[in-house]
Amino acid sequence: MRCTNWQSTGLRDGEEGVAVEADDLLLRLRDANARVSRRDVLRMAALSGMAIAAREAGGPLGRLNAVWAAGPVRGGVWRMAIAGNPTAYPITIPGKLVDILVDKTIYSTLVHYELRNGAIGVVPDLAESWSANSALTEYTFRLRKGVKWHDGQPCTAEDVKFTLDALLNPKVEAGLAGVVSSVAQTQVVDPFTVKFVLKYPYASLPVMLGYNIAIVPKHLLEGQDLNQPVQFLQHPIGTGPFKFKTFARDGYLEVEANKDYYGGAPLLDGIVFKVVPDSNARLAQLRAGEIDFTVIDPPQVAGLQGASEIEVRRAPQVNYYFFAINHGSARFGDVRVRQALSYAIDKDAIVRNILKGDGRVATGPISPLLGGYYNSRVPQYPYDLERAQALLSEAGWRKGADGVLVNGKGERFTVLFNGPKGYPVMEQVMTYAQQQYQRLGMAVTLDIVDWPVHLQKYHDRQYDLLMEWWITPPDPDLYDHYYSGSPDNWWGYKNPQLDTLLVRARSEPDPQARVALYQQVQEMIAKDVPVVYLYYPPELQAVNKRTHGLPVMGYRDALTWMTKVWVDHP
Amino acid sequence: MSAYIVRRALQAVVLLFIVSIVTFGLIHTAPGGPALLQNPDLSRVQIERFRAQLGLNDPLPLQYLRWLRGVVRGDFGRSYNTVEPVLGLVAGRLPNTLILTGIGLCLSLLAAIPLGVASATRRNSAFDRIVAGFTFLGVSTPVFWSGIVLIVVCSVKLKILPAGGMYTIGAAYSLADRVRHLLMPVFVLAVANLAEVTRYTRSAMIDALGEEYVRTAHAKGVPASAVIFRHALRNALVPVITIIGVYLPRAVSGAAITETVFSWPGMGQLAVQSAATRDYPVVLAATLAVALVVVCSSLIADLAYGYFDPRIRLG
Repeated sequence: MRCTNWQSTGLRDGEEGVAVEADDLLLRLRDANARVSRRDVLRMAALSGMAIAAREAGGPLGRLNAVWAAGPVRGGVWRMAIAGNPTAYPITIPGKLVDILVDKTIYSTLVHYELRNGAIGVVPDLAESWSANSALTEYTFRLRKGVKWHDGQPCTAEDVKFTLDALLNPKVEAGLAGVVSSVAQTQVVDPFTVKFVLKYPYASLPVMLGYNIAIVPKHLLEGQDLNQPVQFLQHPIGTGPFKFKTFARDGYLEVEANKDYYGGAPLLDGIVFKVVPDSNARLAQLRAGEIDFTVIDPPQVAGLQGASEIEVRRAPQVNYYFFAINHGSARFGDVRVRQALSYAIDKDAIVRNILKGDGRVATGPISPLLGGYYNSRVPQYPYDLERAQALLSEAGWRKGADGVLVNGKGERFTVLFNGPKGYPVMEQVMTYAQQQYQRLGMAVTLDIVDWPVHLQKYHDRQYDLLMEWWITPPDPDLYDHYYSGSPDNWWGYKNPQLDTLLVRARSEPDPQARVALYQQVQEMIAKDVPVVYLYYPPELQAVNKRTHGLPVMGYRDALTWMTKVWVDHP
Repeated sequence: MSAYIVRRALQAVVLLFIVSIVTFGLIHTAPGGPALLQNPDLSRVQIERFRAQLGLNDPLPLQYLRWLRGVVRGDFGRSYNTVEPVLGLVAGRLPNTLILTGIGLCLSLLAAIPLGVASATRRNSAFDRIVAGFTFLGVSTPVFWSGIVLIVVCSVKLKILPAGGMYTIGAAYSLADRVRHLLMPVFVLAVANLAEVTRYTRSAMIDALGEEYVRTAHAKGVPASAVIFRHALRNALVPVITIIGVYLPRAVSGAAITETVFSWPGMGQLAVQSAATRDYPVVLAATLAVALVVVCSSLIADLAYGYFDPRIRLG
């Protein structure tokens, strides 16, 4: 009985961690056909957990007693704010964040992600287990038996094949096709076994299958126009813990508990996704008690200090902020110039002063959340303006009469620095960076534009430096963005040695060897500075304390664990 | 009269046609493409494929004709942001905005006309100055501030009114519930427009009261209230009707900030969001909807002139 785990994860309420552990145990016991009820398991957890909690929590023992006497309760509706109207259909393009969030509760993926001891790992969901051939070119996934669609039909390997085929069909406007682009063919071996034949050796397939690849029902979608399956859109059917109930086009999407869910019926009666476009209005509704959860920005944290019923959580997420460097610009070709760009930025100060401590300085593109893969011992660039100036000098850039750097050919060091409008933290970081670079003698012009324009300039490489963030699946594979020939190498970065290493690493079947290869990748990247790595931010969540059992993960992942969530009833 | 209306209708069709061409040209030449194609997770290959599928690589006139062909058949296309048909989307949002701005307009008229008349008859008195002061305060306070302040006070602190939306989720339909949700946004809108209508009414009344027929009526011994309300006001209302006619199209699109702050699912919010994300079909449909309202409201205003002032003959 792993009740002590919650201490290391630093959760504030003892009961959340214990409930999570207890449910794990329950699932495993059930799988082993043991006849236990959730109550029994939780009672055992309560007795041992309470002793620990009483010792550790000290003060509010009375409150803990009351909570433990009640335990998780059934019933109640949990309300979450989303920024726009969702479409609960995971195949086609909108694929906006709000669609993904809603889909997490209605549909299931083959695997999903769990945070354990500070690292994110892959755990079974629709698939019970999987294996690969030694070349990593074929994967066999064994599916859970007895899974039913919300309309009662059984879910089988045919549905998985149908979903993958739809995503990879060039006529279907599937936004997630890139995630599963390694798959050449999907084969149904038997009703509960699927085989994926890949185009190239690829170690990351299991992780990718958990990245929003929701499985859809073949029996309802076969023969329909997959780009606009009108009937299905009116009433989406999935295998998830919650069933689609209503969508009021003007304001919310409601899902209700799926009592027949294979992972056990949810404790909640339902979830309401309320459409609230304005971020201040979301906060106001949270404080007024009309919603229970919203994601917030760093500047909004201070405003919630006095609210005793709201808890601000810092959820780990796989995300890094960086300054993209346009490698098509000749002046960035010299690694010393790129290193200077990194030395000139005091990343600790950014985390301290702009993020108010909510963040960690980034060492590279692989996040500490990837556990063993993360290499913390790579060369870093602590703030050193003199060093930056010296490196630029070595590279042939000296300050001219007007204070702007000039090289031997008389070219001035101008920088067009692009960023998106409407992100106060990013604008602060960019303004700070502009000041620093100007001290070095670069003539920096800020180009802060609307989101669509920003991304268009990013894709068309109409910038010298550009600030962006990158949220990725919890996997170390960097091929898409760092490999020279990859069409998604947005910065035009070319490093042949890194290319070889990236291909080797993602085809490596032995886990230890993979880890070693990715450690090397991070070393190489840290020395070569393809982009200036800034920080890993946590996701800031504002949650009403009536919510219990919500894992402290980014909400994209927390929403796949909604069976464990319960709310206090008034 | 009917010939007049028919002529106006034909003019309207031509106008809408021109509006659609201009709008189409403008939104396609604006920098940045549809936001849905700028999802950072999309690969370059996919982006190119989607652009081709949506027909965005074709020459503009061809894209316009394709759109026009759809419109003639009643198909305004699919929104890029949600897969739903645009016509349904706009048709669903329009009534919500009309309710909000319609009631807001009625409220501000109900308050502004008496205030304007009273200010005109008590010109330069303390009452006049106080009214002017309050109404200017109302028009200069930005809605995104006053809206949030109201929400904080009434919903968060006092918890007497809901913080946004049109109705309480999950509850059965109830008029009282709808009214409670309407109170704050309508108040904010009405206050914002109060100043203009009050000032126009006031100056129109002052002009009307200075006319010779008013002096004649007084001389005849007509009671003061009858002079004001039966004679002067009807004439003063003509410029006020002009203002209302100009206000109506703003009513459809101009409540964007109010709608956003109060999460009111209306046209203004739709227009702003679709413009920001370059959802071309929706932007086109929303612009045409506003153009249609402009045309209809100016026709109604013209017909109203004829009613209030028989000297204005139409046709």
